[in-house]
Amino acid sequence: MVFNPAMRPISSGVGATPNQTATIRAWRVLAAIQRFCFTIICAAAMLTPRAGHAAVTARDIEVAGHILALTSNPLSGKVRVGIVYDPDNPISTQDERSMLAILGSGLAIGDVNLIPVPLAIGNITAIPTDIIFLTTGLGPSAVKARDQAARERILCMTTDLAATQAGFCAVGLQIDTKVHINIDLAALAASNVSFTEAFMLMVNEI
Amino acid sequence: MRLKLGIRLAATIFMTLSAAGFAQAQEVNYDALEQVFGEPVTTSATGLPQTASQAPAEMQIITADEIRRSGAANIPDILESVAGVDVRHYGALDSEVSIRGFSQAANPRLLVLINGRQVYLDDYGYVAWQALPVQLLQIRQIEIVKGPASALFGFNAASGVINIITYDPLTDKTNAASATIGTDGTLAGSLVSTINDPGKGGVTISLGGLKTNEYSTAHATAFDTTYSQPHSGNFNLDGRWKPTSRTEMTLELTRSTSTSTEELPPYFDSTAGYRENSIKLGFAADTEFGVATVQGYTNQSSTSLVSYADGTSVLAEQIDDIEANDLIKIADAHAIRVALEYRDNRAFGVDYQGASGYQDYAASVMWNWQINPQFALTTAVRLDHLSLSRNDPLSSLDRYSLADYQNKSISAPSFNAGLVYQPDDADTIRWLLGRAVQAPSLVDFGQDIQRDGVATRILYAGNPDLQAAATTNYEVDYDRVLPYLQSTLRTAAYLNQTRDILTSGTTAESSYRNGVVSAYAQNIGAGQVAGGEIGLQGANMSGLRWNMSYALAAVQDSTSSGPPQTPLQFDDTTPVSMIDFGLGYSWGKFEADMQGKWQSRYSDYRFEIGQTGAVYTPVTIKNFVTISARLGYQLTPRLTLALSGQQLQAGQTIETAGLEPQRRILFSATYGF
Repeated sequence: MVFNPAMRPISSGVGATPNQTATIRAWRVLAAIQRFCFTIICAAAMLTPRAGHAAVTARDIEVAGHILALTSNPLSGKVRVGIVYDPDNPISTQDERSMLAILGSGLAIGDVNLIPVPLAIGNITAIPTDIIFLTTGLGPSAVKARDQAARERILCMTTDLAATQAGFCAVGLQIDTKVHINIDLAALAASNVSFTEAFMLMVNEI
Repeated sequence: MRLKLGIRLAATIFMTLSAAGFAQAQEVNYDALEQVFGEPVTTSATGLPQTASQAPAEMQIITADEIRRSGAANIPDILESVAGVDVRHYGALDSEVSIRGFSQAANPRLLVLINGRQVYLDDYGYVAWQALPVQLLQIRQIEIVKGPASALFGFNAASGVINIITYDPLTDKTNAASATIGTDGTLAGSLVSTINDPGKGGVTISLGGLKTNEYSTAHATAFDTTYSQPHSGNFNLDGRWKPTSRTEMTLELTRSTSTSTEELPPYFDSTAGYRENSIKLGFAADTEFGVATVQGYTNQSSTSLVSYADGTSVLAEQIDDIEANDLIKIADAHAIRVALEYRDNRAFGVDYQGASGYQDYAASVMWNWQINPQFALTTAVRLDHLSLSRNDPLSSLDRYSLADYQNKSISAPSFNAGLVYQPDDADTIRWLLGRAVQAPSLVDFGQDIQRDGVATRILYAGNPDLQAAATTNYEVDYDRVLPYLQSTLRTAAYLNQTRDILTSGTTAESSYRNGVVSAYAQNIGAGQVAGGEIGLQGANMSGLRWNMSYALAAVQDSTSSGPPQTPLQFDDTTPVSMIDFGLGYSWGKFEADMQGKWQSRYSDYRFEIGQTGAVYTPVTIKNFVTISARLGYQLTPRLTLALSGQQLQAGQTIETAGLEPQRRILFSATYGF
């Protein structure tokens, strides 16, 4: 049964007969149960990997690595990649495991050698890194990544477009048949990183 | 003189930069952008860096891998696999390239550039492909824009543009050497080396040479066989330096020489010796006002022509060009490019009468509007103003006075507009409209060529009354990615119309009076091409790759109906149908590739000087097939051996009215270091 507020016969119990009061109580219990179920379902949906969620792929990492060559001051050599994840979020940990598997002990892409450094979101300042990569599903707590990028003046990248659209991470990667790059200009400016103009001409600015 | 020009050019650029507040920018990091977006990136369609699939033009990009796998020894042979591109071999080193109709020897309608520098020769209006100062090993990609593109590149991009992009010494280390030996006395060598501090500065030096035997043929004229061993050599220095993280300077020096039989315009059998030099300086910067670029170059060429029809002559040409442009993104949806260009060119030679040239002032604006994620509209407009100049002496036979030449000017607008619709990642639809301008060549515009014929005196004269030819193109393209076939389907349908078609003195109607034959270059009427291309190209993970395309080009020519007339019938000079097909396979260290082409019949011409002037005899070229192939084996991580063959279908094939291409087998070793 789906609870519909419009079905409630009486909106409050004031002035109701005992039968009406019992009916009101019954509806209230039903509403409470429905709210509880809804909350459980939502929580489960947030904590369970969505059927449509694809973990970070090797292609995502490859694109991210090559994007580093398009900054105004390109990094080279060993680049520590802070993989920012939430240990309590299965989506996030799935991304983190995937990235660790892809990067291994280091992955050479162009002029850089990407070295993975797992960073729990609650402990993001623990180890300094050269860039950070946000896993999917961090939600509002991703604001810590934005603050870290601004504090350390490092680039943040992610495949979680919601994080880029919310201004938590400068570069959002959307890779399907084609590659779409979304850049939040405010987050980019805050991290004091800039890209070549030619690259900026090819991306979607937010 | 060359030094003075170089100094003058450098000073001009420096002053321009100073005036601009030393702004400006970085050029395009092709490698990183291609790796990020998963497909080649180009600026040849609009000046804006775009992926090939986003460009508002029918464009094909040939990558370095495709160049290697083609086994070709020169650029025209690489272009043979492109739908709608007609490549003809008139000699062992002499090839002609046309796009989408009006095919002819020494095609004046195709603009060719190396890293944005014109290598098209303004003197006769054509490209000497054998004298291009670039090694195949140093080419990153060849960008082919089909259809008019004058609004970005200026004159002579009437049927298309080919822009050859080399590896960037700032970001790419290219160190390789190759040696080739082959049948018919073919010997070639090539060396490319880069010294760089990545991202800060670098220099690439390349040099190479080639010699081979000329095609032997039973149908050769006596002249065709007088030169038996064509050869070429060239040198290229490409330096780039970043004084700051947001600025970049470039310097390019080139020198090339070649001697070969050649079909000069229009259809002169000759031996052509080229000596070409160039210097290019550029400065670019990322600024708050966009990517600003200033670039200037000087081209010098000296062409020695030995022709049984024309005797011996030497023609020198110089082009000085400077361009400043700024490309800026406004908000997220708009990009605007504004440009100013000045060009001064002139041609002169002891066997020609006086020197002729023109100064061209041009301004252009390009606006790219990303209307929404699915639609993008690009509009570009350019205005050229050309003033003809001419020095003494005139031929005594010329009907024009010096003042007629000196007072001539042409103002010509050109434009390109393209609406690109990408409803999803798989589909792209383009609606294109463009107008391009072809300037008269310097010889056609203002030179007199006076000769003594068999029983007459002959004057082929420039005509200051010539108008620029204008080509308007209407086009619809549809591309679709087909994941289940691991292929991409590309289709295009177009109609292009040209008015005021230009022809040189020899192909224009001549008059005979008092023992003198005289003929002036002419605008000879209009013509149109209706056609299209459909092609499928793909590859799978097992290493298999394939391509197949069909191109249709039906030319309708009204140049021969009523005076002025020409003996050339353009509606018969282009094959109506061409089919390209290719198959390749990579397996471990092996690579095997085959490329073929079939084309329908067409008419070519054989030229002779008769009693009363030029005589053009049409020669029907029957449909034919050409096949080329390459087998490559990577012996060590650094050393690759390859066996390749051109014209494998027969010992000899009649492709043109000139010499007949022969089967050639080449063995090469390439060492990367």
